[in-house]
Amino acid sequence: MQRGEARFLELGFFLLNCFAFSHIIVPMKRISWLLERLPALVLLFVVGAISYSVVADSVTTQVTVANTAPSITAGPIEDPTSDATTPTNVGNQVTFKATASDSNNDSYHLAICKTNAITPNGTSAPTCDGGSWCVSSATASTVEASCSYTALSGDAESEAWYAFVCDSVSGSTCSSSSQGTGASGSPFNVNHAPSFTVMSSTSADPGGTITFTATASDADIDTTSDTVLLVVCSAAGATSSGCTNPADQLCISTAVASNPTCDYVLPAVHQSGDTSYYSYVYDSHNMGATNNPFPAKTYSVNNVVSSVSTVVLNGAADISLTAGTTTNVIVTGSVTDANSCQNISTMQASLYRSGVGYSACDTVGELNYNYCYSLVSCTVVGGTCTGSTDASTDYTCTVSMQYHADPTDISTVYVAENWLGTILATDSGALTSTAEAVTAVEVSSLTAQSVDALVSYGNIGLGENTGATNSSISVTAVGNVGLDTDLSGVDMCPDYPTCAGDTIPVANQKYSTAAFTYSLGGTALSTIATEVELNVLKTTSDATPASKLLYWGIAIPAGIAPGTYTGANNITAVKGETVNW
Amino acid sequence: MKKTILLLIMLMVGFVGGISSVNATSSSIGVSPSQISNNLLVPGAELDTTLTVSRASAVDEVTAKIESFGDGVTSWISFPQGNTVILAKGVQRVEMIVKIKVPTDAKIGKYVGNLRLTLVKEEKGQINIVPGVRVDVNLEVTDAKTESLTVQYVRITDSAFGAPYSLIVKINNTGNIATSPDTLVLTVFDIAEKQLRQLTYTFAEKVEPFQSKEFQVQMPDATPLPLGEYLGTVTIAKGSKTVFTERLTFRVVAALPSISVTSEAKAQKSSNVILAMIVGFVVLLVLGGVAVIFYVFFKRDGQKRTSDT
Repeated sequence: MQRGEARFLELGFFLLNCFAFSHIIVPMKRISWLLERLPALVLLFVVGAISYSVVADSVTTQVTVANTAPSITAGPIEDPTSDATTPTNVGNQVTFKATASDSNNDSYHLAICKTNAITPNGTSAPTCDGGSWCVSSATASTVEASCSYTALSGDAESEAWYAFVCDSVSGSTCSSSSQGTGASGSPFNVNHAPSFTVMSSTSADPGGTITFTATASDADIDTTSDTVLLVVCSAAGATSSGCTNPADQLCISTAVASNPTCDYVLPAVHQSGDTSYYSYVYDSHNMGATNNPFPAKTYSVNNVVSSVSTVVLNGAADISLTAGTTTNVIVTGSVTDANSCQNISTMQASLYRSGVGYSACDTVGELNYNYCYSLVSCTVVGGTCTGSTDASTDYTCTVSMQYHADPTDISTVYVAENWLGTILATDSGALTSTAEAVTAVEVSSLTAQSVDALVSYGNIGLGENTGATNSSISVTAVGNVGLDTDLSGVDMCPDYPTCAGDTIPVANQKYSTAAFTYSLGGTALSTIATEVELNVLKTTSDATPASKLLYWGIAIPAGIAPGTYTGANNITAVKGETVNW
Repeated sequence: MKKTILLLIMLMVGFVGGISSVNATSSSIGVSPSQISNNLLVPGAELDTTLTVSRASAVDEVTAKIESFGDGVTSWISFPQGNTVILAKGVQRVEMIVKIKVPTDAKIGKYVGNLRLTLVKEEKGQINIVPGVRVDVNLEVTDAKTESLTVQYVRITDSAFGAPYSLIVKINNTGNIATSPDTLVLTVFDIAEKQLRQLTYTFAEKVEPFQSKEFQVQMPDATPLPLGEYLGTVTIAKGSKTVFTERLTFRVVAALPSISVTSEAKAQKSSNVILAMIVGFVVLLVLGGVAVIFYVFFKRDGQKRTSDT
């Protein structure tokens, strides 16, 4: 009701009371008179009111209009919501929003206070008596105001707030507080970073499991205790979902209350040694520890022993040596190393008679060209070791066997034995492995001789013989057996080999394994091969091959024509009896 | 001075002559193995033996001839490559095959003979020594049936993904009846030695007596192994008896590489040409030196005679 309207009614009632007193109270007895004059009374009242108003408008008056506080028409809210489920991480902002209306159409400040007390400051921003989270700038009435607060590590998990709107005018006033409603209302929640202090890992063999363990926890317990998880990567870069490059991810743990662990299964082939990794801890609100990634760490892959296989000696065929020289015998094998084929430092082959065994032929000092060829270096077969993820590679080893290496076939000293080969692999960590050939082979007997090319008797007269003077030839064993010899010959003649004229019969030649006088000793040569027990020993050293002399004498028949007589004697090497080797 | 020059010439000739006299003073020959023995022959059996003929020095080319001796056995023996063996200059060993064919009506019993390999050479001297080697032949014809075999080797090659696993198995029949193994089992492991699968191959063909045969074994896998390296254990059985077991490694690859002719043969040939050139140069150098010495000697000798007259 307006002020003027109120005054009008008061005057009207005053006049009516006056009239009523003068005409009703006094002339109480004149009720009938009053009833007869009621319309007139009413008319009088109305005229009196009209008269009064005409008289009021025309009267000069003065009044002060008071400032009223704005009032919140929307909000206040946290946007986005900051609650126990979705708290604000330290370092992130909480944004408060509200809309207020001022009857005086004044601008207003939105103040988010820590306590329910505020002091307006005229056109300046109001002051929260107990401290503020934030205060907006002056905002026009009916326009949304907002302000933000950056969460700090020192903030409690739950922080109450009180929203006020204060007009920005001289003599400003503030509304009463509001704490909003629901999840977007007070309090706002702060999520603190998990602590991450220690990182460790176990060691493992290739194909084994590396366990990563973080000493980490999170102190936040609002509504539910925060959990922590661990992400381990081979290269830097990760989020709470995993490594930035999925290919770099070694493992990710489940969320646990503290000290998360995760397991990484190593590839079946992995180089030994230390490998760098990067570790990250996140809490259940995806906030990372302040020291993510943990300072550089390494996990260790153990050096494991390799495995030699498929050792084959001379293609698994018997070995036939070469007279008077060496023969290359090939030994092949494969090696598998879970630390990769590049981890193999050396491969060496040993070749030995089975009765000797590898244990007596595994050092350089045991080398003996008769029965042990120790630690011969091998070479990689090209293209069989392709890189650090390749486990297997092939090797070939060339052993130069001397011609006098012990035979093991029939009618030999070591007939019950054979030859074997072992390959020794040594890796970069000095671990060794060996494997012996599955298939043994024989070294075959090599019956071989080196013999002088000529026998010269010199000049002998008709009817004479060589007497005690012998010619000799040397028979040398250049194989791996002792030697006897088959001897045979032909008649000698000037026109050899035709022999149309005079001849010296083959039987006129004599031979012996020792010096002899022609008339007293020697054996007559024959055209039929005759075995002679020359008993040349088996050669055991190529520096001093075994040899024997074969002595010769001749008698010249009388009655043949003088001249140069020529012939040919067959010296055929025969494998001697083993007892005479 | 003249004497000095003559001495130099003699030394030079002696040096050159000395090289060639290596051949004139001795010669070598050898044969391996030294015997051919078999006590499991049956009438009608055939046996091939490879002999390696070798020598210590390979300066000159030599020819060797081989003959067989022995009552009742020489007719069984033949030399498919002929009965002469040529060891060319620079060649120290050659192989030759000796074939023995037992007549179908051969009587049961032992047969002894020998082979003689002798060098064919011409030397100038009173008695030429003809070196040779004897190979003893000891055979026995029997009516007993003997089944015996050995596995010489098993090789496995890399396989293309999805293709059968490929192995080569060489079987030696050391008995006198046709035979072969029964089964080959390939057990596959990963590098961590975890068993992945086991495949079995059954031998269908047999190996003839005293012969060898390479079997090309293809083992298809219904669930092919992925690309990578694998370990395999091969077990070959005859009946209930394991006759061979070996551990192998192989790879499954995306595609097998194509086979190309290597330049190794060409390199060998070129190295031989280079060696010949070096030898020729040395010979020319020696001869040139001799010629210079002769020239100097005769020129000075002629000048002196002119001055004397």
